[in-house]
Amino acid sequence: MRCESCSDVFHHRAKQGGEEGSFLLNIFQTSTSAICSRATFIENFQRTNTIHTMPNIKLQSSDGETFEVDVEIAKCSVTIKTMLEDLGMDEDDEEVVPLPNVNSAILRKVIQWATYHKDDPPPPEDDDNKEKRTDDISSWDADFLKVDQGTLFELILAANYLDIKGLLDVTCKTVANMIKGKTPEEIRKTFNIKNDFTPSEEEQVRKENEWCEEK
Amino acid sequence: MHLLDLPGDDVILKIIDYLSPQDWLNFRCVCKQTYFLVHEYFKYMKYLDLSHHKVLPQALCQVLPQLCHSLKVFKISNSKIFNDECIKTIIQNNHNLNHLDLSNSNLKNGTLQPLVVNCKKLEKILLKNCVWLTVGAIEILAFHFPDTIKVADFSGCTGISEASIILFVKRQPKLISLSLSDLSCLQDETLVKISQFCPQLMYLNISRCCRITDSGIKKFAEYCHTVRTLKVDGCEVSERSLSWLRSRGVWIDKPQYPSYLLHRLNQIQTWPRTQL
Repeated sequence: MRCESCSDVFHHRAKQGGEEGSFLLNIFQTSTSAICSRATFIENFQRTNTIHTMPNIKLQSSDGETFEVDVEIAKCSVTIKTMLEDLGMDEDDEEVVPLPNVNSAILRKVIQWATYHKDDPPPPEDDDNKEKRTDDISSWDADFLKVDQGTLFELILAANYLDIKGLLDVTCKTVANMIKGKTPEEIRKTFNIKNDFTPSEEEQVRKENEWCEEK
Repeated sequence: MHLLDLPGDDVILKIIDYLSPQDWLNFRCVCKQTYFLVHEYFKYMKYLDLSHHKVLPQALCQVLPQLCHSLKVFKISNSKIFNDECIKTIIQNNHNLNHLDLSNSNLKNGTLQPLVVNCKKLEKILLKNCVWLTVGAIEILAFHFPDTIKVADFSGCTGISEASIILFVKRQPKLISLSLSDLSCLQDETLVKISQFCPQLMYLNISRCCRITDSGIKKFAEYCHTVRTLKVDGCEVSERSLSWLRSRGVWIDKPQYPSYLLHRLNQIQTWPRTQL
């Protein structure tokens, strides 16, 4: 923990107990494990200051763990939102939404991302008239995605299955940044990809990549 | 979990969308699957900007015209990498083209022919310094193109005439931005027609059109009430006409006062005050 004054205030509020208290304790513990910096800590604290009671929903991961999440945060997933609307589920129902394609570790991370981004405006539709950029990843997201490749790809799969555009965009940008500027051999090393071209095929592809002379 | 285990259509193509042309080339060399995926990507690619590329690998020169079918934006200004046939093929195959930029290119007149037949959704056409563009080409665009164009740039297209420009604007009432700089054929009459036929015009660039006079600007100001930006640098026009537009909040690139006078005013303001 880097900021003692913030952590003291946090601890105090968490100790007051109740639903808010346990929620805060969860964030506090999550932040501790992420070794969050002072700025991030204050941000988290300010966000949690706006907590008020909201209806919850239960999400069940593929390995049977249940997560209680407020329904507005869960609805950032178009898949979950559609399920709720199609099934006509009331927000007070004790029903559990099963997510057989997402394990608990990844679901926990997805909920953490969605909670942090709960007040974000809806992501705009892709503008096909503009070049796609990868240099606009926020520092929080960059820290959040400092994970091993396996986890990153699992997050992409989860964001794709759950249809969470913001998370899918930022994870794809992160992978694109891992490819950018690298030679084919460097890309193979980064992602542990086997070169399955025969020597003559590889020669052909390398020839195709030669720069044409200026006309 | 491996990169290539990710779903191709939904995810890997989305990742390739963030890469530059050089990165596509490197990625396709990695293995057979990435080779296939990059080629698949070209079929769904919507945005292609190869402006300022003087050279491009043979692979892309051949492959792109054949595979691209979903382009909305195609920019190759200041670039000589594609010949006329390649550009014609790309235009022919991409019916959803919305934005075409061939500025500073060196092509033949017939290159735009498939545009008229195939691309009914074009909104931006940028042909700056395309000296190969003829009166006939503009007339064909005028007569056969739907009225979808919002942004047009024919600056420096010395092969076109005033009459063909008037014909074009007459048939494109949705124009918001029009650039006609460095055209010595342009006279006051064109400005009047532009103001009459383009009720939504917000940006007009007629820099260095030496035959435009104060009279043309005055008439333009009278009829066109939507313009917000006017570029007249290098035109023989003065505040007698420009002040009308300035008073309506129109931004004009020509300064209100000549620079030597501005400098003098600045000097006066910084003189030390003396007690009287």
